[in-house]
Amino acid sequence: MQEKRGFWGSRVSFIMAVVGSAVGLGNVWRFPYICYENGGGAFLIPFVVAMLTAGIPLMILEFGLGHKMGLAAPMAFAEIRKKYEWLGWFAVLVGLMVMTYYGVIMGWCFRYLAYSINLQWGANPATFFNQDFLHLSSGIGDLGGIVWYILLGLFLCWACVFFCIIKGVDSVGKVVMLTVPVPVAILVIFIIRGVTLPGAVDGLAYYLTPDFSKLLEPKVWLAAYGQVFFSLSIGFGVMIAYASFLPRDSDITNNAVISSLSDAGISFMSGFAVFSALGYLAHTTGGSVSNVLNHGPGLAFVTFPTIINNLPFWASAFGLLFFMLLLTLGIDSAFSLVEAGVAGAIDKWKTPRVIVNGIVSFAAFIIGVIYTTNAGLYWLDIIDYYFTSYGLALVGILECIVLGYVYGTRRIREHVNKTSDFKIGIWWDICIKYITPAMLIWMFIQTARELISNPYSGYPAWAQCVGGWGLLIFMIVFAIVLSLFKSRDGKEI
Amino acid sequence: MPISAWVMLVFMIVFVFGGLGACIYKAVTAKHPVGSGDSTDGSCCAEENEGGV
Repeated sequence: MQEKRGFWGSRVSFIMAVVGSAVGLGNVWRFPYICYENGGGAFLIPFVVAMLTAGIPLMILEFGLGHKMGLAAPMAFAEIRKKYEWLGWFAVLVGLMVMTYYGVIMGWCFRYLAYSINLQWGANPATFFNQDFLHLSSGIGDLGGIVWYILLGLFLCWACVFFCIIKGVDSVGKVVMLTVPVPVAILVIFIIRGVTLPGAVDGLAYYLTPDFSKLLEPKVWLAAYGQVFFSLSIGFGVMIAYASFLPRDSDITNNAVISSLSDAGISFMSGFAVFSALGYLAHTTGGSVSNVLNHGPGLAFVTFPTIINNLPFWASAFGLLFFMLLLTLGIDSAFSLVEAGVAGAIDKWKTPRVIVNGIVSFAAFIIGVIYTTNAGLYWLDIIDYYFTSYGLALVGILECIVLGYVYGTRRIREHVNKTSDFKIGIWWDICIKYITPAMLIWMFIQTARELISNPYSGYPAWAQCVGGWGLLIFMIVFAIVLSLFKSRDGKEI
Repeated sequence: MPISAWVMLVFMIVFVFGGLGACIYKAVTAKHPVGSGDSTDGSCCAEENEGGV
């Protein structure tokens, strides 16, 4: 049976889905840290500039392309020219690869949700996380065995993802009505609890006190563009796929601005929750905020459990709420990455959704098994670094070049302006053709230079190849192979 | 917190929440609330959207 394309039930469900996709774990465990590292409150200036000159323009670009073509990323690029189809596949493959480890982190959250009931991580959450929970091995080559409860968590995550997108935008539109407001509400609870704790003001001072001298450092501006680019789920083909399900008369520009600002707002709010809690931790331990500062999984699975341990009352309830926050933040980002690939395959081969969804979910689950081993954290770290620093940046650069110079920004701008309340002008073309690619190329070169002079985290060369460059090159080849397959021309299977 | 931190806080609140408020107001008061009216079932444009597939 040929798969029929659906449409979003309402404008609200579309915006909720986009916000759900953009807002993920990075908003909580990356933005506040990046902000602190790059001048505190002063970082907000380059962040706003980056949002206006790259984030929102790129969001409009992806919405515009998806909406104009009415197709997910692979076939949307194929409509431009057949030879660019691989770029669409590469974008969704990068997203799916990210999803393979995102699922494991969510699996950890499922387990930690249960641990929260009796604060099972004990007095030393760092030791508990690395030794008792992950059973971390001595190195990346020492896989050890599979940790069964992490595998179970991974399976649970994929089961959720499978069912969330089982009916495409119909089911996604319903799920996001829960998974977007719930984490925002939990975040508000954490902010209220956080700012009423002793020492919270010291933490917030670390977060917001501006160091304007940092604005003269190019790396701060680079960090701002990087944060905006990585935070908005741009370059995974998600926004192209989601916009392809919009009715013809949809407002593109306003939707893009609302989604981008919502993402920025939630990042900013997260900073309050994180730094007020860090201020409290510093207060109770007698140290300074910079000593207890952490980011990434370390913040979620080590620092926050420590803070929860120290809460004067309802520690278990806040533990449950915190891991519920991570789960609800992560789930909509997770299924959006899968939906981008599933929608792309349905567009090309007209295969029934349930089959494509099943194949993609099962394949990604199997790949994810490596992260459930004793060396899983090392593999997660290396693949995350290469796919977000290089894979995603490469997609962004090529997307700007193909859409800006080959297809022409004018065509997308005219299409967007037809139905949008806010009209975009030539400034948008400048952002897409010059500013964004220049910043992305600069970012790419900088990270590559760092990598050449200093191998990432000291991992051996073979691991950098297998989990890094080699895997990225394999994905490009795989994307080209997928683009070479013949598509079904609308005939029923 | 120093006064400069408060200034940055106000700046961000105005930018993010002011901007969001303005955009949502525009969306709600649009003469033709695009994407949320008669065409939500996609009937207006199903043919056009499927044409490219």
